[in-house]
Parts: sequence; structure tokens; C-alpha cells
Amino acid sequence: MDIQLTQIIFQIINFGVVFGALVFLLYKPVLKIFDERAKRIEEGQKAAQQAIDAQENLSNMAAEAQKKLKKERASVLEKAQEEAKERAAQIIADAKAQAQEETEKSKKAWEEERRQLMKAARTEMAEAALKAAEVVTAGILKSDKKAQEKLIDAELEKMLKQI
Amino acid sequence: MVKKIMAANGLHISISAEPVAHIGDIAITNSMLTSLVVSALLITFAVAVRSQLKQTNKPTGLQNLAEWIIESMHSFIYSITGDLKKTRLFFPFITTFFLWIIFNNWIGLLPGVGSIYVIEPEKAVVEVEPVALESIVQAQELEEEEVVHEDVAQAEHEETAAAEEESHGPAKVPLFRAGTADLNTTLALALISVFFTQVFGIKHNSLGYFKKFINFSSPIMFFVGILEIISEFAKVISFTFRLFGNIFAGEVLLAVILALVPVIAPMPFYGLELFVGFIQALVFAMLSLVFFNMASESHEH
Repeated sequence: MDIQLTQIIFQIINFGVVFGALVFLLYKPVLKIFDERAKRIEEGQKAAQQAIDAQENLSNMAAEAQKKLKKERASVLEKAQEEAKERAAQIIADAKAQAQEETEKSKKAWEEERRQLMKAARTEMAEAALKAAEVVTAGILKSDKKAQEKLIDAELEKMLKQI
Repeated sequence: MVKKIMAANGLHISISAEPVAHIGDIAITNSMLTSLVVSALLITFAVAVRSQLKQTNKPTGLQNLAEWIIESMHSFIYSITGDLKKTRLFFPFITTFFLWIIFNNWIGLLPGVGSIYVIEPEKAVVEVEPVALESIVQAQELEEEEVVHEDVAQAEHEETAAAEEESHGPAKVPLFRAGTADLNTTLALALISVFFTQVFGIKHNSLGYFKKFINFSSPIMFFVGILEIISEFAKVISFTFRLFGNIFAGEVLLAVILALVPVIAPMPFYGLELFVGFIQALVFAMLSLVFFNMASESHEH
């Protein structure tokens, strides 16, 4: 086993040269690439986290807005229902009032018509009574008393029926 | 001197790395050559990755492979330190240990490593020696007869040695040998690991780090300090011999199996050696990491 100083020094120098070459040509550039890649990944992760946070924020805002909207919708609906109820009651009341008015109006018209008819009937009755009286008078003049009375009754009854 | 075992069937096992070339007085061993190849491959890979690196969330090809390795190592280191700052500090050392060791372990399993031979430079010189001596002997023969007799005897001895050498064929050594199957390589790695353990200890605890070794607060603490100093040297030895032992043993095992039954039988052992290569690289890297982490923790607690 020859241990020779020259060979040991040669191998130390040989190793040193390889070491230097590998450090400058291989390790440093590749480790730099690793560092830059790690940095890029970290930045990407950061951006992704930010996007996730923003999305969560937006989701929360949307949920809140939806909740608010729902609440508003419910309140608007309630208000509308109340208004509708009020309006319906108003319409009904108005309709009732109008109907009452119309009824009163038609009642009045009917009363007027009745009154007119009664007036006409009375006039006709008076005319008929006059006629009957004329007839009776004429009959008395022509026949006996009993027959005259019978005739008057018959005429009166006829008039009453007509009325 | 290279110690080697050359079996009759060509089995070549050498406990130490063998020189395949010389630059001046410095011998270039086969393990040095292989570790240079591994280093070149790793640097080529790094250059290729760097050239096609782009900022994307879906990496492909080499970038994908590089990211997978680096991310796995980063996670592994972070699981032990539990601190991103320390992870980033230890990461280059631990990952380079792991990659360099694993590829040095695995390259020994490739065809050609250990099977391509070259003439050993030292032995090539030895083979020429008898001829040179013979000519010297002939020149001296004319001058002194007694001296000539001695030289002839020596030359005869050398000739016999050369003839023995020739009977085994020319002295050959493998061109490649797994880097981690050389004690010098594993020792160098162990020294680097233990040195940086001290560096990180000092960096995190400044001079207070040395209280771990030199503590006069009580006799027990003083003795503990001595044990700590010993343990630092033990770390070097254990790192060195664990890695060398496992990888060299694996190479010997494969060489023996290949020599005995060259077909099919070595396959499970190759699988085993792949696993051992991975585990040993992981063990070295993990232990270094644990030592770095321990040294960088505050000694006040």
C-alpha cells in the first residue's frame, strides 16, 4: 500500500477542480432556478389565497345582499298586502255606498212613478165615475130605481178592477 | 515498488495503484488517470447542463436529471441538518463527495477498466538492465579478471531474473483502475472531509471550537478533549479504509469470479458491486455531513 504525498495532493487538487466546476456550473444555477421557482409558487399560492379570500368576501357580501333583499321583499310584500286590503275595503265601501245611492235613486224613481200612476188612476177613476154617473143618471132617467142601483154597482166594481 | 500478483491465467490483482506514465519524477498511476476521466465526465455533464439550463416549470432531458439529483441531495441534507442555511453551506461538499465517489466506484465496473494493459514503465527499464550490464561486464573483462568474475555472476543473476520475467511475458499494468480502489484517493477524500469539518466548526464556534479538544475545566473534560483529538485522526483512518476496503474487495471479488467462471456467474456480483458502490458513496457523504453538522453545532450546550 503505497501512500505517496504527490498522489494525495494530486487527488485533492483533482477533487477541488471538480468541486469548483460543479459549484459554478451546476449547483449555483440549478439552486437559483429552484429558488426562483419556489418564489413563483409562493407568489402563486399567495395570489390564489387572495383570490379565495376575495371570493369568500364576495360570497359573504352576496349572501348579505340576498338576505337584505329577502327582508326588503318581505316588507314590501307585507306593505302591498296591507295597501291592497285597505284598497279593497275602500272599493267595497265605495261600491256599497254607490249601490245604496242607486237603490235610493231607483226607490225614489219608483215612488215617483207610482205616484204618477196613482194620479193617473185617480184621474181615470174620476173620469169613469163621471161616466158612470152620466150613465146612471141617464138610466135613472130611463128606468126604475133598482135597476139603476144595480147598474151603478156594476160600473163601480168594473172601475175598481181596472185600478 | 509495485507489489502485484499475476496469476497463470492472467488474473491481475494489485493492492496499490500502478504507474502507467511519468511526468518528471511524478508517477501517473492508473487510479489517477481514471479519477481524471471521472472528473472530466462530471465537468462535461455540468457544462452540458449549464448550456441548456432554462427557467421552466417542466424541465426536460439533462436539466431534469440534474434537478432530480440536486433536489434529492438537497432534501437529504436538509433532513439531517434541519436548517436551510446549513444545508446550503454543506450541500456543495456533500453532493460533490457523493457524485465523485459514486462515479469513481462505478467506473471500475465498466469493461476495459482493469482489462486494458500497458507496459509498466518501471519494468520496461528493468528489462533493458541486463543488456547494459552485460556490455559493462565485457568492457571491464579486459581490465580486471576478479572484478569480471563478480560482475559476470551479477549479470547472470540479472539474466536469470530477466528470463523469469520473460517467461511471464512483458510486465503489464492495467491502464485504468477505479479511483476509489486506491488508498491515496480515499485518504485524500478523508483529509478533505476532516479538514472541512474543522473549518465549519471554527466558522460556527470561532475559537470556542477548540474547547472541544483542549479543555482544562476539569480532568474529565481534559481527557475527553484528548479523546476528541484521537477521534479526528480515527475519522481519517476509518474514512480511508472503509471506502478503499469495500471497493478494492469488490474488484478482487469480481476479478476472481471472472477468472473462475467468466460467463453468467459474475452478473449477480456486478449487481452487488453497483449496490456497494452506491452505498459506500452514500455512507461517505452522510458521515461527512453528520461530522460537518456536529462540528457546526454550538459546544456550549
